[in-house]
Amino acid sequence: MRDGEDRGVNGRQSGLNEDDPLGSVRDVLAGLPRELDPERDLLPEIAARAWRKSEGEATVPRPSDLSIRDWWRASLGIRVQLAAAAVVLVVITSVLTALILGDRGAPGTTVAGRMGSAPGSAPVAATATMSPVGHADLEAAYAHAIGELLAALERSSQELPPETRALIEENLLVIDGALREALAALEAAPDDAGLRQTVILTYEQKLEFLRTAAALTMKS
Amino acid sequence: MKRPTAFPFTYLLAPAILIAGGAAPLAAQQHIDERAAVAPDAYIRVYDEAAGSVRVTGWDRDSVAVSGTRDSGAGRFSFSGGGDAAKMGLWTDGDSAGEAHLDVRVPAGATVWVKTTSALVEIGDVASGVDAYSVTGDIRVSGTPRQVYAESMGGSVQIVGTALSARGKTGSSPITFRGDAEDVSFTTVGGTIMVMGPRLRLGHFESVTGDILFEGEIEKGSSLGFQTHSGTIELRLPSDVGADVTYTTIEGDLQSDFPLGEADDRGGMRGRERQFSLGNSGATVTIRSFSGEVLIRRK
Repeated sequence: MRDGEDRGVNGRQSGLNEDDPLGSVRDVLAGLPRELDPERDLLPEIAARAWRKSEGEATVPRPSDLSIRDWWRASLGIRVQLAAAAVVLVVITSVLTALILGDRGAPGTTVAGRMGSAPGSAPVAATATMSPVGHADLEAAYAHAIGELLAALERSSQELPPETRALIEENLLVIDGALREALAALEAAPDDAGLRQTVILTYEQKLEFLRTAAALTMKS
Repeated sequence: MKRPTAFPFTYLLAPAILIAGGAAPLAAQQHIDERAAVAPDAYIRVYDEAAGSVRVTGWDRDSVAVSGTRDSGAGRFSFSGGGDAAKMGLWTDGDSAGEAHLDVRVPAGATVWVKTTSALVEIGDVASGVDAYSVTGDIRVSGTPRQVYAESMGGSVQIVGTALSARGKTGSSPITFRGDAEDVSFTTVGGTIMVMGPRLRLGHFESVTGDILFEGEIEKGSSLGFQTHSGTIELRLPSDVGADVTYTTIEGDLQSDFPLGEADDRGGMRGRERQFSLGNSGATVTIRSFSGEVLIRRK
């Protein structure tokens, strides 16, 4: 059993631990809020404005309360899962990238920001000190987020026609193929920070696709 | 003796024939015609689970109007709204048969949210925010929206026009952008990203296996990032381009019409990293590829 696996998440101090990077990731995850609204979703505001009864003005026609409740009830669970997964994605990416680059900047500062990259640009290849984050740690760190999103996708895609489910699987196969190639290259050169960065970016692509697929296939 | 005239049974059958032959299609296809007064900056939500199309067009009236047709099996249509917002939807309970075609007119300043299962989405002449999502339908946005966000897992995304920001995602279908924008980000798994003729400040283009083609100006001070696993990245740039380029690859090749410096061997690690300037620099370009080929062409 690796160091850290026999210790619970609760009760650990937050912050990066160079001896146990995966434990650090778990610490940060444990401190996250369980719910977070997606930043880009316009729907809640639309809904609020669509059916808000305003006094002194002409009442906005609204559909039955039942339909609104059904709408939110159907989508809320998956929305929470997606939001939580998005937070997990951001935290994992930030922590792992910081560990891989070995650059201990100010807490909360992104690696891209510290290295002077513009927000829209791809992360710069790492050339700094190597860290102990390895192949297995990367897989383990992303496994939780991927599992969450797969569960959300499974729920939201149950009523989809077979061809749409096949479409999702085809895209995942493409991403997994790329991931296998990147992981194989990293296995052959475990000290290559650039390869680790490539693996992370590919995991992020997989997570992002899963998030997108789950959101798109969600009813309403 | 006059024989009794046979009763013309065909007369009795005529209405049935008419119903079965001529009137049936009329009964099977139903017209949609709804409208409501809304604010110039209203929020409009369109949700469509049926096959077919949704066309949203901005106009200079303070009202939303939807017209169109739907086959009887294409779900039930609902419409409500007025004032600050309006919403409409076609709900199929998962067993849609037939198509529906919706033509929605909205105030040009409205914020529009559209989601379809498989229907084509076309949005034009909307000056505010546009969010368009489809599981398998194509999405086309044109005009001058302030911001565009378009996602389709099985369909393509096409954005033509000028926007402050544009975001697009697809699975294996292409993303095409023609126009100008301050901030652009496109992501695909296996589709092709084509960015033509843009003037960008920030751009990020990312694929797993899909090719990325960029043809346009790179303005001074702008920052562009290209990332792929195995797709080909092709940049078609003017001769007077000015950019500082960082290129990183593991197994890929780089070909350039512009003179480049020697490759850095990434400190003995696998692959190559090159940093070079095109022209008088002034912009930042980052290219990252695992095994895809990178082509830098002179226009």
